[in-house]
Amino acid sequence: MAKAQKVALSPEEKAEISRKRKAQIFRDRWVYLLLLPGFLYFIIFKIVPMWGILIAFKDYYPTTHFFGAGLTKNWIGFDNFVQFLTDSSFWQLLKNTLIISGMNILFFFPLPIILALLLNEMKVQWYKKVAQTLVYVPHFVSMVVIASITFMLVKTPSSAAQSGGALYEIIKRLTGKEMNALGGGWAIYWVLLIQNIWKETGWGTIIFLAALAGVDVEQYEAAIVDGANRFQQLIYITLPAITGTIVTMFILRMGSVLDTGFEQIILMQNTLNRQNSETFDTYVYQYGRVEGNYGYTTAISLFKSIISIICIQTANRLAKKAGQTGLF
Amino acid sequence: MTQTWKKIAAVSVSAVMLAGVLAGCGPATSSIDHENPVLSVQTKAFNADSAQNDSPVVQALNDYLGATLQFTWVPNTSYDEKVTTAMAAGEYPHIMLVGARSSSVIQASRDDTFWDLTDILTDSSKYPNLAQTNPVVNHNISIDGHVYGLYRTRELGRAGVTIRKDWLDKLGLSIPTTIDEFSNVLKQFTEGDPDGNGVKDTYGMIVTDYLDGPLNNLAIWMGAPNGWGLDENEELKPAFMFPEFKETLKLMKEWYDAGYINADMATYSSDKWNEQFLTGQAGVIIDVADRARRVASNIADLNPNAVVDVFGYVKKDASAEPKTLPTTGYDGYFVFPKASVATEEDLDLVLRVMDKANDAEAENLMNYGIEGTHYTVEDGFAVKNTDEALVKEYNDLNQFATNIVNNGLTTKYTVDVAEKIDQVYEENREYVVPNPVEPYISDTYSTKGPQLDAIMAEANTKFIVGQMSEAEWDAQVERWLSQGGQNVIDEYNESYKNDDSVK
Repeated sequence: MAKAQKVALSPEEKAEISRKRKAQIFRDRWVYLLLLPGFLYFIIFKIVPMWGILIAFKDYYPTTHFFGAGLTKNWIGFDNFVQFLTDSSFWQLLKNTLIISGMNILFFFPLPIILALLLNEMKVQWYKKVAQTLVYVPHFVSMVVIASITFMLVKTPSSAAQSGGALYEIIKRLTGKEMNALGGGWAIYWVLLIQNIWKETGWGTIIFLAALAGVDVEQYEAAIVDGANRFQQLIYITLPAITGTIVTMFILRMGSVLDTGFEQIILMQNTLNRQNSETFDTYVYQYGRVEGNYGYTTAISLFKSIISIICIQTANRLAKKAGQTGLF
Repeated sequence: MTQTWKKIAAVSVSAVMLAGVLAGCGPATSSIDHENPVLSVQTKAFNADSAQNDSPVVQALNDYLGATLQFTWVPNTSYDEKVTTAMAAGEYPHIMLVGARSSSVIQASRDDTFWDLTDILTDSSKYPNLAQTNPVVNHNISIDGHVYGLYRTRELGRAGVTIRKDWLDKLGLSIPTTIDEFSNVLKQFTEGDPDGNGVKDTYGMIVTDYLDGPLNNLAIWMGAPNGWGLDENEELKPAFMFPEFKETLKLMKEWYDAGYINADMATYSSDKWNEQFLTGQAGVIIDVADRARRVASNIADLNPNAVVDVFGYVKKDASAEPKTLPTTGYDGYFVFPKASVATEEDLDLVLRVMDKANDAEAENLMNYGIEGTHYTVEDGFAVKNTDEALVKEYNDLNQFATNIVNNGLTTKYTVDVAEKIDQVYEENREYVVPNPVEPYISDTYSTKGPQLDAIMAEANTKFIVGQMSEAEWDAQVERWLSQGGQNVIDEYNESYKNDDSVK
């Protein structure tokens, strides 16, 4: 239909449309000006540096020249990828990354939604507002501080005569179990998850609360007239109203399934749990940022990005199949 | 009216955001003006408030050196990262400290990024102080036989054991001289109630997540090589492949199981190493001898009766030869990048400044500030003014000192143990076991080093705390070999065979 219209346009009509569009742009010029910095930001810092992924195919170190004489040298094709995928630590890294990320999706992802729904049900406005503000606070606490607090809570005693951290002692007295939360095994995964829940749940509610604010009040009024109780209102009105937001957030989350961040993990790492806590991001930090193996670690990050695209696409398709709108 | 306001708001907001977007671009470095040289220096900072470039001490130093120094202080913890970033950006200071010989530093040196000083430093007519660099240390920092920097001198025989002398006295023990005596001290410190309060609330030795320090010292005492050693076939092998090393691990495991070592050693931060010593919960630390000085001066406030002593080593048994673990003799080295120090004349100017920085006057400025203001001289010793505002004016300046020649003043010791530390240094130096691979570069190790080191660090810790059996530990050595360790062994042996200095 649009195509047919285009064919039918006379030059005068085309000029007219173009003139109107220009007039519109001129009318909204101040709004476009506001758009400019964001636009430039993406061009300068996200699009332009993209040529840099080429070093994933080079034997590249910080002092290697890319342009000039270096342009034809050190190209090694997919060697970096092969080296990484065949490295004996690859599967360990993948496993750790998937466990940490999977636990976050499984246990952390639903929490902001639940908390947002709970906040939404609060009747006393001032209390709701205070609660809302307070749950945001942990988001602004530095990870370094959280790591120290965690350490103080769960630390094990140095000798039999001393006592450990508060949480360690509570668990010991209740269950008789001497738990070393920072030692080997699965403990570190739970520690990372709980830290994440404490820090980010409140912050995560913002987007859902915004979605909840857009729900038509008349629907609730109609439901009350029909005799729906609070729980039924929640199931049949509130949840369907924010499903779109939840699906969008989920698809975005799938895109970062291999991202664990390195700050939190590096702060909690020690020789006992390194085997379980080394992930792609901590590995890239160590080998790229600290050691300077730029080519190799760029290859790893590029590999991660490709997996992310696949995950986003898959999640998007699944969402569409399930009757949701999806992202694109 | 509102329209105008909106426009102003839009313009100013977008201007601010634009400024934010463009803030990433830094200024370019200029070449050196030989009349009024301004030299940028990048080095480590251990304090949050390092000396500012306009501080009177820096000004005085500038006057003495004949150059204006512009310091960029980088926190110690992220130093190597910063070096890598600087090299990636190609924005070099004139004088840059290189902390670790990471793969990118080695690569950069081979790519001719830094001035090769091998034949320049020897010129005693131009650089009287720098010509006195120690050839052994120069050999240690060399890359493919070339010296690319000026090292910061550190005491070679720095290792030492800090111990509670009053506890020894109370238990009727003397400073241990053999491993058995050392074991007994740990046992008595744990079980013999050394603090005399009638409660079993003390233990022997504090070990931290930096296990390598105590472990390597003990291994040397037990007869293992330092880092690497020659086996019966004249092949270089890593220390942990020698039986003496395993014996050491077993010994530490014994101590750990008996409670002579803190149970949380794997997670005990080395930042808090002194803490339980100061609070009277443990009585031995194996680290560097000068730790005794810090411990002694801090413990006086908490427990005036505590007496801190220090010794350098114990022998494997009464008849064994003494052996001590040396440091590498340096802590990083300053490089002079060709990108910023463009010509040989520029290099000469920079080196003359570095040479002058080894004069007594410069060293005193960096260590103590300005005489009369920041310190006074009493009986030939420097006595510091501890006023924080004054200390701030020369904080971390000593990180610029190379101390190739020690001309400066020393401080008057405030604690008794301090004088003994110098004796420990001197005695240690006699018995140091050098690390044979220190000057060699293994390409595999320079890329996979951290990964390989992590395997053994984990295995050693887990073995001592009982999370790994001996068979599992052996399997980790195999894993080390298969993940690149064998290549490292081959590469070091190759270098060793081609090294004329060891023949």
